[in-house]
Formats: sequence, C-alpha cells, structure tokens
Amino acid sequence: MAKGLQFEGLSAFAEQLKRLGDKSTVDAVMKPTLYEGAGIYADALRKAAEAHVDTGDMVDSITLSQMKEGDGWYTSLGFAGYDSKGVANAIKAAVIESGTSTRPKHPFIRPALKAAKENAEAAMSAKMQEIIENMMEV
Amino acid sequence: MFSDRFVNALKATGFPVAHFGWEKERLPAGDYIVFAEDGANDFMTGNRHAERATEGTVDLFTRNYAQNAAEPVEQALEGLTGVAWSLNSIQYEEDTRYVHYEWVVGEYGEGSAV
Repeated sequence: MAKGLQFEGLSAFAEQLKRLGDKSTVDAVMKPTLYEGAGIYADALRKAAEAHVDTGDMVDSITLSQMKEGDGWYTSLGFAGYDSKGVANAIKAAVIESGTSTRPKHPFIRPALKAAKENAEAAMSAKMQEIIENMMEV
Repeated sequence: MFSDRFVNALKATGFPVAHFGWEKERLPAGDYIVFAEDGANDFMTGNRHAERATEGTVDLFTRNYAQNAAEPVEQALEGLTGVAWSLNSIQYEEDTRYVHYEWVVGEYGEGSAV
C-alpha cells in the first residue's frame, strides 16, 4: 500500500487532481470522511449526556441526520423525539445545557463537542488520506 | 475564572449579578444576570502554556423584552478588550414569563486572572 500521496510528474498529478475534481469522486471522499468525524462527535455527546440520565431516553435519542448536500456535504447531530414522559428530548437537553430561571445550568453539549474537535479533525484527515490513497492505487 | 474587570462590567449594566446562581432567598424579583465559567481554551505553544483563556456563559433573565434589556449586556461585553462573545440562545419561559438570553463568552489574555 502506498504511504501518503505519491505523484509522478506533473501530468500524473494533473490526472489525479482531475479524478478528485470529478463530483462523484469528491462525494466518495467527502461522505465517509464526514461520517468519520460526525461519529466521534456523536460518541462524545452520548458520553457527556450519560451524566444526565433520568429515563435514559435522551441519551438514546442522540442521532445523526441523513447526510445532505448543500454548499458541500453536511449532517447534523441532535436529540430526536420524546422521552417516555412525553417531553421533547431536544428541550430537555437545552434546559440542562442552558438552565432556566428556576434550574441551574449544566453545560454538557458545548464542552463535549469542543473536547472532541481535535480527535474528530484528526480522524477525518486520516480517513480522507486513506480513501484518496485507495483511489490512487486503483 | 472571569476577571474582576469582566464582573465589574456586568455589574455596571445595573442588573443584579450572581456567580453561578442565586441563593433562593436572594433571588431578585426582577431582571438579573448570572455568569458562570465552564471551561478553558488556553493557548499552548512550544510545549508550554502561553496564554490563559476562560470560557463560560452570561445569562440575562428579563421580563422587559420590549425594552431591549439585552442591549446593555452586549454593550458591556463589547467594551471589554480580550473578550469574545456570541449570543447563543433566546428562550421564553412560559411559567415565569422570563425571557432568557444566553451568551457564550471567552476571556483571553491578561484579563483572565485565576
């Protein structure tokens, strides 16, 4: 297996860039790369949410949305649905995170995502490298 | 911790200010501010600690939404050098009729004395 990106001469370089510039090829790189990073953020959020378990429904509700294409590929991470008491999990998470006038705040979302950022970026970079290397070997 | 300079700027808005929260018997009947630290974003370089940075939130609970009660808080934050902030959320509490503004704040450099 090739170690890192290897280019032989400008014509080969141009050809490889052209292959990467093709939309379907770019998508084939970007989607798994994005999922790699999003998965790390999701795991970090799930772990942080476990410190605030009441029914356990909020932790279980953490989901990644289906990947969509807008100005580039994107996905979103959030709390879906309602808990067994009929409370929206997203509202519950917001109340814990930001507090109210009658309840102190316990920020867990922002600190968890911030702490995961470095790992997520490194994992995405490694995933992208791996995919591009595999493409170059074909 | 946020610096004295930071806390004094919040107090200068005229709202009662509490750190982390109010004791139940001291909770103001009207508008008030709560600020809290929740982390750091220190800058490391050359394998050493180079710059201190404190992160946290400032919350304003107000029933004077129409009077733009949030403006003095934003002006106070804006006037502080070394402070970065963004309005994170505005939520209405139906049961208390408070509008809850939350700003995420970072104080960097010398202003951030622990």
